[in-house]
Amino acid sequence: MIELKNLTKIYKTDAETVNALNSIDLDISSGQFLSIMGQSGSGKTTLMNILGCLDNPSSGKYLINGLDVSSLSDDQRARLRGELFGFVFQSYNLIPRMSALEQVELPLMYQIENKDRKLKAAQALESVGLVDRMHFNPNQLSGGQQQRVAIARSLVVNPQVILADEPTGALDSNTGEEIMAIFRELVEIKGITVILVTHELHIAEFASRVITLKDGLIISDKKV
Amino acid sequence: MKFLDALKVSIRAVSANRLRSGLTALGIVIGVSSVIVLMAIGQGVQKGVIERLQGLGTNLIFINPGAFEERSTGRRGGPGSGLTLTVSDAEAIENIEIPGVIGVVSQIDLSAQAIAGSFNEGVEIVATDDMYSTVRGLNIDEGRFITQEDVDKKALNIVLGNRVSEKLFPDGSSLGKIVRISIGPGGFISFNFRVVGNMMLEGSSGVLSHDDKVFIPVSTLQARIRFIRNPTGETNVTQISIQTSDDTDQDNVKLIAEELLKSRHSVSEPDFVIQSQEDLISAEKEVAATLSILLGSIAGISLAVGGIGVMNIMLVSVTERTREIGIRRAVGARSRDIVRQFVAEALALCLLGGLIGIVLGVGLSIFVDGKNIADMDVTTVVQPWSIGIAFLVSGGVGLLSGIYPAFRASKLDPIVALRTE
Ligand SMILES: Nc1ncnc2c1ncn2[C@@H]1O[C@H](COP(=O)(O)OP(=O)(O)OP(=O)(O)O)[C@@H](O)[C@H]1O
Ligand SMILES: [Mg+2]
Repeated sequence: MIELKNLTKIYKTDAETVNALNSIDLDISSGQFLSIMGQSGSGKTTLMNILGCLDNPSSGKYLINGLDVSSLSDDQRARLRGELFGFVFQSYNLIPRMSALEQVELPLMYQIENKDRKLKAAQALESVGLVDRMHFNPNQLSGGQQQRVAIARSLVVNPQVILADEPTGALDSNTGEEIMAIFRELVEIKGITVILVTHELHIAEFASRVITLKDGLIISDKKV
Repeated sequence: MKFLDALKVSIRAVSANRLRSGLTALGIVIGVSSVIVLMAIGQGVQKGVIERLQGLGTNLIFINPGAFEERSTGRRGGPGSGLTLTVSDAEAIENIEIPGVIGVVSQIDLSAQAIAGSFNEGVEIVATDDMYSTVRGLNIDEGRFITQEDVDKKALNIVLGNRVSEKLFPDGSSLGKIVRISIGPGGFISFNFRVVGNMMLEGSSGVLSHDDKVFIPVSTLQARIRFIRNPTGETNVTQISIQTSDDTDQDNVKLIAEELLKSRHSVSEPDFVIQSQEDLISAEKEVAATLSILLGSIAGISLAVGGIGVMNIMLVSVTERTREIGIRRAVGARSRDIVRQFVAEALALCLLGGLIGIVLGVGLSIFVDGKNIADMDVTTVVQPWSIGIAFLVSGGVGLLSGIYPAFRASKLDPIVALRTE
């Protein structure tokens, strides 16, 4: 469903130009659980941002379900983000002073069809085991709980792809594995495509495919 | 995002930071309430002036001397700048019997001192005839007004305005008492008059009120004071008043009187001013409307300052919530959704301030109504449209002060916004 062809991202600063991604070719099929590994600065976040339509490649093609993303307008890419993708970040990225339920409701506000928002949000929270913390604000939740709220938020729109950039990076290994178990369930039960960035091998091994980046190049692509 | 959702989100954001929102809205509160209060004062002034003009009588047309304009030199004088009207002008208007005219009366106004016993009051003499009280709709408290007989006999009879009577005779009725009237510098012309009547209190003040006036027969003045006549032997008057019946076309009466006086004075351009009560009222309304707008605009400046405060806080808010903006963008918000959210927030702040300002302004206007402030009787009239305008203006201020910060917010790159601490 996702096809990257000869994809390049170049950052130009005053001093130098950085080839964050160097002619990447990558096919990701629907329902795959993919881990991306690599050293710091190897281009993992850059790749995730482009996959999630938050950023544009400098050159090359990005096709999603056969649709060329570079031909889309800003608004159309916003809709794609809202309907096709869910994002999970290392730093949770919850909005302060908003309850868990409201956080999860947020993506639904930007959908065209957005009835039963409270109900859908509550169901998403239930699927990550947090119904009893529905009315808690982020500062009343543990890191693992906050990340589960973030996962519920990414889930609530029934996305085809979840993009998780180091989702366990700020968590201890037990909590991290609990989070990974949720992702595996999403892949296995709901058939969602999960693309995950991590530094940790034991986390990467939850996936069925692991690719490794170095200096903006894919240096290995392994099925597990 | 639906508008209702944007509204809910913005109300939440406004109430999340109560103190800051309150202080920001305070600028709008002060602006809106001062707009309402000052407009209400302007309207009150207008109402007072109109009531006073209506209190002059009903269906009146006034002719005043002056306002000549010489075509050749362009020299122009204001009303009263020439002594061009005479007693016989008034009689001539009466004699041609213009249809619809009920009464015509002329008057000579003079300043004088009225003395009774140890009391000495500055008064305004109105030298006129019996028609005056009918045309002007005056009410007698005791005794009678000047009669035709007084005029025929050039009698030394006088009728006192209510306040004059109160001041000269504080201890009892003035009827039948003697009042000495002194005219001219040092009071070199003095006559003793007998009081034959007292007027009812009108209650208003100013030049149009009859409470500080005294009335004497015009013929008495003509007989006793030579210099009141001009070289041709005519007596100049200060004003001629014409009363018409209810359904009379006053413009027609004005036209006929004007033509008559022009031919009598042998002039092509009128050397007098002829105005109906309606003319005066609409002129005053214009003046008062200008006053209202002026006062409103002054208050509008404080509203503009309030708007700048809102804009400032919105810019701060956008900076503080950069990451939130990034999150919203990531979960599907279009840039226009972000614009809408921040505009709605500024709007919510300003409308909140506007509503409080309206309540405060209306309350304050009602509170000062009828009070004496700095020696002025303040009358306020809160027009419903001024409330509507205040509400719309605060909404407009919200839009204006919200658009730029909202636009800035929507232009943030989502990736950069998400990375912001
Ligand atoms: N906005 C930017 N402007 C300039 N250079 C950038 C920008 N964003 C990323 N880069 C550069 O692109 C390269 C890849 O960065 P990226 O954030 O994708 O690395 P990463 O693999 O996610 O690293 P980490 O594991 O530390 O998160 C780096 O060399 C970085 O300096
Ligand atoms: Mg990264």
